[in-house]
Amino acid sequence: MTGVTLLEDQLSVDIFVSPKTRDFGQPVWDLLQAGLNAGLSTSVTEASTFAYGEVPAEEFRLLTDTLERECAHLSSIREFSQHPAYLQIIGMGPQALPLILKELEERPGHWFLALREITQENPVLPEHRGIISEMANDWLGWARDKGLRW
Amino acid sequence: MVDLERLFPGLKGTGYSITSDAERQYNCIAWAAGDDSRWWEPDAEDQYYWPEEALREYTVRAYAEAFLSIGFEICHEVTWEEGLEKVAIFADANDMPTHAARQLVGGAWTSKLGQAEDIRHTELEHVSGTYYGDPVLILQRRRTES
Repeated sequence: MTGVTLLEDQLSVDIFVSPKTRDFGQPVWDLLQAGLNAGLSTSVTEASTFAYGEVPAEEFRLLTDTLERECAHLSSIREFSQHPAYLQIIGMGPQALPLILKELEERPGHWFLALREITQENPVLPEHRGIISEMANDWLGWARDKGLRW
Repeated sequence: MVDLERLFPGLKGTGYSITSDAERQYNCIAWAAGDDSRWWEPDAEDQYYWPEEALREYTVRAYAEAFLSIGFEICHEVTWEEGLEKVAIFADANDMPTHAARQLVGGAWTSKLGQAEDIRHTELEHVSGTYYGDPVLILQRRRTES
């Protein structure tokens, strides 16, 4: 993956994926390289979508329904975020971002640790910590600034 | 809607009551601390609110420090005492904090159940069990409201 490192160096703005989600395959990196060579701004999310297709909304909905059904009583987001359904959503990587962001916009909920894990970013202002609506706004604002669409 | 009696069998037949709609804006720790505007959580990812004076970790000590930071002190008496507000911290068998409940005027308790409803229950142990373990620490402070 030597070429990956070189490409990351060149794509300083658009790379916002964690080491864990960085391992999404050569087709994505090839698309990113092609975009770069053509002078286009191609995000990891866009490249992933083109390379592998979108995460089915139905699959995402099933996982969120499972979380609501099985985790509503948990007092700790740490426990919530260790549920297999939550981990499965994290495991979808950047491809899940549009669905997570859409969900966050429509029904602000506890997607923040997934967003942190997938993106390795933290746009939540210290004074907004714990205030779900403000945290959601911070993440949605970050996503818009990155040019993500959902 | 969550089947509370399935999750917390100790509630069956006790006359507990649901006192709010399900709400994901705050959790039991916030509710016990008297804050229904934020979710309190010592997450390493720095997403949630946690008092700066407290260790940011999932330990009973850190949870106790969070309550100490807002005027509570550790006590050993769970019974109702006029003029005192008490909270109980629950932990599981691995000493991992799982829940907090706050004592109401008269001695009953109020618990926010995760992202689900608030309930009023007469005994602290009615929410003990598989999910919340048992109460392991009691704290108190001078009650300010009537």
